[in-house]
Amino acid sequence: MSDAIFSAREVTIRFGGLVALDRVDIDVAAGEILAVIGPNGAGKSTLFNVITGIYAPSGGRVRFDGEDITGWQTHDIVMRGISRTFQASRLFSDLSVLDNVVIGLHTRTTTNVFEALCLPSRSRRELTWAAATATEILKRVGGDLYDRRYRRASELAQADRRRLEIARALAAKPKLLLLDEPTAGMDDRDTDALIEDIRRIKADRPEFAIIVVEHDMRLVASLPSRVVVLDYGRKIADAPFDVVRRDPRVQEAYLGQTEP
Amino acid sequence: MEQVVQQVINWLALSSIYALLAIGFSLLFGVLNVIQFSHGDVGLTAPFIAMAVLAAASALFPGAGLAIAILVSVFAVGVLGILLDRLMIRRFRTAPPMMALVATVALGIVLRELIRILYPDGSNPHPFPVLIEGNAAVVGGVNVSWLVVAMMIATVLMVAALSAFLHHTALGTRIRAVSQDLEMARMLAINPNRIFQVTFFIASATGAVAGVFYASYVGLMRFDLGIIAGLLGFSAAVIGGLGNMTGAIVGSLVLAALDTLVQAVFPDGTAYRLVVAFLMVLAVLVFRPAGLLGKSVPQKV
Repeated sequence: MSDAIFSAREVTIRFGGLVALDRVDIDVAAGEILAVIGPNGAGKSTLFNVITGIYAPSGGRVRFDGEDITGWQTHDIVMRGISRTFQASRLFSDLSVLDNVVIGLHTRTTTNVFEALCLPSRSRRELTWAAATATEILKRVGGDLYDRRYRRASELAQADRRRLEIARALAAKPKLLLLDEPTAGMDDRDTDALIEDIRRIKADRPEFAIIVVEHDMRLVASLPSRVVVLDYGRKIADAPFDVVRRDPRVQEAYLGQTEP
Repeated sequence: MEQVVQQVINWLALSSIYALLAIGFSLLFGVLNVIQFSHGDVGLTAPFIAMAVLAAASALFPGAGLAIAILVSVFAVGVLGILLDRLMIRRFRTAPPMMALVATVALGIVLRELIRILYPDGSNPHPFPVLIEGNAAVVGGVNVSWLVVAMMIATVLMVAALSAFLHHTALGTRIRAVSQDLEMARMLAINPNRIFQVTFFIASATGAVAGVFYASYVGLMRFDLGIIAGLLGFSAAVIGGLGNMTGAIVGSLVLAALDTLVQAVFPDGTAYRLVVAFLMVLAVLVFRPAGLLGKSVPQKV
């Protein structure tokens, strides 16, 4: 795929004798939504950790937006335009809802430590800008986030926490967003709301790409343009959902177990 | 009456010194998850640095030599903190706590012995000047020296500035983010090494101010004062709740109150001040391991 904004080639991760990812190829085009599914331990979270530089791959290359980012530090990769949410809530619970988003805007502010000390007016201006921008983001994301923006993040309900994590990830204006099981722990109503949220975000910014790791088949069936199936660290399918669903290997490895 | 006023003044003076050290311990623990046991020694190098540059500073800035020398020493100790972090302490952030503990204790010994060897006649105590001469006021028949007033004002100002910095600047928010969840902070493009640098500079420079106050308050500096100053500052942080700014200050007030009371009330109490102070630490660790204001420290240590 020549217009891929993201591509992984033969990415391999070994932990001692265990091969967590085995020569996995993945491409994502700008504007595409890709789902990664697979049984527990298939290597989905490991894949995200490789993409974001938490693990350096044992083999293979990762390219993003025209650059080889293999082995880059996490903060440099995020600066380049990849944001992520985690499976478990990773909000800064002692910070206000607003400050959680302000932190996400960090990639877009330029004042460094010494400028902040020497040019306080400039860093104040930037902080005012960040607060205003974060407020706008909270308004758009919806839920109760805007009304609760000065509350601590720990006081939010589950669905709003997930929304806030997505808002924080979006604040960096990523070109690629990684969502790690965004519906985990949500009921059907919250899941539907989340699917709507993601659709709305996509409508705002059609060019940006999403990779979502998910167990919830309703989300996988309705959102992505393509589904990659991992099993024991290998890619066993890469096709639209309707095709993947009928693939006997996939049914054996995954769907057969959860949707008899 | 005079006795009481005098003891209250002593209490506040000691509280200032302990608090400046304790907030450094708390800040470092919060951000790095490492107890920097040589923090006291780092801070107490400041009076030696100040005296070492005093002659040059006086020649260059007649009349303001001491003030300049102290500013230089505070800045130099901040930089020293950055260096120690870069060379050593950072490597123990993810190591088992026992390794970090032994490493930073060893670092403290190295610092003390270096002062002893490098400073002329370093094994013996040297006089340290009173920062500001004279008395600010007479309260209840007791002279309140400018030094004590300056110490208290400086402590309040520094704590207020630090709190404002942590809560109302982008950089401060990032520091708090790193202290809560380092991995997530990295996912938001925060470079943790920058945050460690800033934190070490602030904590070490604050410790340096405490070191200068301590030396000026007791009128002398000695190579091994860092160990006791560090232990008292650390104890104050533990009593209040490690990693908690307000706790560090409350802990300092409690510890200094106890310290002062023992010296004032018991005959020959001075000899027992450390016994009682550290019994208090033990009592807090047994009955309130998270500290007076702490929430959930035990699983971190």
